Amino acid sequence: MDVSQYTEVFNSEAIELLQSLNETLLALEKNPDDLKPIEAVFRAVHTLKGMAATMNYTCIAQLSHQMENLLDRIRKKECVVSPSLTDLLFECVDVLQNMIERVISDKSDEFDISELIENLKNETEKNKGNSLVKTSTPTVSSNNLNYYKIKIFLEENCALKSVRVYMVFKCLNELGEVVKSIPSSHDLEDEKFNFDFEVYLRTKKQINEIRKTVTDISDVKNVEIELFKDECKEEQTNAVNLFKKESVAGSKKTQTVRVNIGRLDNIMNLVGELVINKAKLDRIAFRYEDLELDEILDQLKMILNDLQNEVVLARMVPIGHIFDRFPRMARDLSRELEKEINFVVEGKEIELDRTVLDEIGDPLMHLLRNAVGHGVEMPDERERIGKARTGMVILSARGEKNNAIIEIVDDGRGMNPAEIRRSAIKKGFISEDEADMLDEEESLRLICLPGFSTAKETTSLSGRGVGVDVVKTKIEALGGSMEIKSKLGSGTKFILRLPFSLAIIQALLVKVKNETYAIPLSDIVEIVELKDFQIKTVKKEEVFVLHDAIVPLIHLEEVFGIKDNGKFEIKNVHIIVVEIGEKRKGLVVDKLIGQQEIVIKPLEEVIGGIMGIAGAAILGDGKVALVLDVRSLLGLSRSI
Amino acid sequence: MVETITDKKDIQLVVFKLGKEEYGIEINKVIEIIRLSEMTVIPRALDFIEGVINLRGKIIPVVDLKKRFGLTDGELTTDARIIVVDIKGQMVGVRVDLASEVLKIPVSSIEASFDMVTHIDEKDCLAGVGKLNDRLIILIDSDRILTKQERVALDEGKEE
Repeated sequence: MDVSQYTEVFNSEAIELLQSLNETLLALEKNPDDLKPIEAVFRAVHTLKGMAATMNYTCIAQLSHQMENLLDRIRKKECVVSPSLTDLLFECVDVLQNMIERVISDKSDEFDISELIENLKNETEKNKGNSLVKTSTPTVSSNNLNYYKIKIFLEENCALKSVRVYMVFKCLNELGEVVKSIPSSHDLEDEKFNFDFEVYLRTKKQINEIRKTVTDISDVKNVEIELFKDECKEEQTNAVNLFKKESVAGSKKTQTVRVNIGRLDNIMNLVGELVINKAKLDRIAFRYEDLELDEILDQLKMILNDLQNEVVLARMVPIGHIFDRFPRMARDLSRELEKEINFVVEGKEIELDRTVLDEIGDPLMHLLRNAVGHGVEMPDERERIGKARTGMVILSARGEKNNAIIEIVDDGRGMNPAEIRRSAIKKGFISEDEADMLDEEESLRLICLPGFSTAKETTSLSGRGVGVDVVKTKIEALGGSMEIKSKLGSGTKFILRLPFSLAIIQALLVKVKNETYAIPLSDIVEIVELKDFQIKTVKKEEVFVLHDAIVPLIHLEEVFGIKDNGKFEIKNVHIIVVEIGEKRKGLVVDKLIGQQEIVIKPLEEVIGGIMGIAGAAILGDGKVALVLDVRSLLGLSRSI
Repeated sequence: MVETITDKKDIQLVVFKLGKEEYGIEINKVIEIIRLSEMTVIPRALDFIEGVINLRGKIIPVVDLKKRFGLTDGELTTDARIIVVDIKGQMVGVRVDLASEVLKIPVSSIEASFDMVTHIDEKDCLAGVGKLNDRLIILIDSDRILTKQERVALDEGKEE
């Protein structure tokens, strides 16, 4: 049977199943008396088993089969959920994960699972004696072959219906013999049916058992079974033939499609090109002053906007995809360190661009490990200082303006700025004089220096002096920022600010002398016009007063060394007030050109990495404008 | 590059001028030759990086070869061109005064010694000197136009 075409479906579904397994097992562990999660665990394992068997991944199938046996006993309350039991199940999930990863990389699931299977068997057997319910199932009409008419309803959003049909047939054939189906197996195979179909089964089994088997298949919404007396000998459909054909019609009525991310990138780039060309058209239209042309361009603009939004949305993925793997990690780590931690995840539904999402997994992992490993104290210690034994670690996401904010908060011991300063002096990062100048916040930022670590001891997982600086670099590479807040004795908070999406942004175009620069709109708070006498000099730094606050000024032509001809003759200057975090500065520019959507392109490697420049964008007239990197202009990156 | 040259009998060069001298870049390194277009200056970049241009939606850096070689800058003429070359997979523009022709010269006529090249101080990206009749063509190893030293210099430039 050629099933290779389903490998991808298998892979992605298997990974989803594992994820839900981890979640439900965690729930079970938290609340062993509540058997609701076990049903979900059981279903997931069962589905995985079915899928693996279909794909001929015998090891996965074997292991999940054994797990199923054990789970079944738990479900029937014949065996008690103990920590060792959940540990075993977690171990199984890990091994399953390894096997599935192997399947993805080497197309084979071979793995030594004999020991695990032995353990599972022992666990299953161990509890047999003290079963709470009689296991002997009543066999009433055991010898009687009955015919059942089974009507199966699939979920309406079920992808690859034919796969489900195949699984239904496979399961039913294990119970008895499928004699007929309506529509015919042929049509079912070609997905020529809506969401329900009928199967006639000859079996010795009871209705309940059939119902159980069928409903356990994923995407089966409902099953109706009735006893069917009539001998239906005609047209004995060989259901097993289903799927043997080489070409099974693909999913015709699916509502979701899995798309290669490369495709989406291409579409995104093309839309970017469209945006640039549209801007060019605008310029030409401006010359002609043709009403009809303007109208069409207006429409084009609207369509383009929609298209762009759609593409951006298509690339968005809920942050839950990344967050979901952390509860398990937090559990394992807190166990290993013998800490008690209540890990809370909030805002899973916040959506981020796929490329951003792919990159933040590891940084978040680092920060969470730090929170669990270094932040939260041991239970006894917590009790001693009057805190609850169980520490809190909160991972949350929310949207704010153009950014997604991710926070990692713990209620642990917090960081000691003085200690950080001392350590920084000892390691030669700063001199004592410099240390004296730093305020609390600046001291905390010292931990972002490469090679800095205040951890008194290193654990296997964190505290090797990498980590925070890597996290900071990564987040900044994504156009985001990181803030640290910490209060000694009561906890630490890491605030990550990330753009929802990269590539296309709204920008303000300005002129400085003859050069055009683009400033991301999301960084701009306000634009003010000043008379030159309003500019004051404080400590050799030019500043002005805005809403009772002093804002330092940056002269772009000085920073960028733009050749100058006659300085400050203009009586009125435009100040673009930019803000990142809580830091504000005013950028002095000569002229405002206007707002425009731009596509940021990275500068080639040879000239990339210049302070103050984030990239370049092509304007409507074909010229290249440099995009300002407000973060580095504010002195927030590269140096402290 | 000297090794690769000796592998073949003839090499084809795109010949261009900087001032009065003639230079050549191996043709398979050349992607295209374009007219000057408006350049955007990159602040605080290396001095021989003239800026960036938009080449059909791609933003590529342009090197001022005269500055790279330490030659004095003449006036821009209408003959000036940008030769777009492939430097290790990266497109880089090289501004020249005149791109004149494509020549085939025998490998045997190339000398690896630069003694006769007296007007250039920076010889680190030269590959040899080709002689054809009474012409001298200075061969450029385009891969070394942006060499290690320059990368370091560039990095240092950022630090200030």
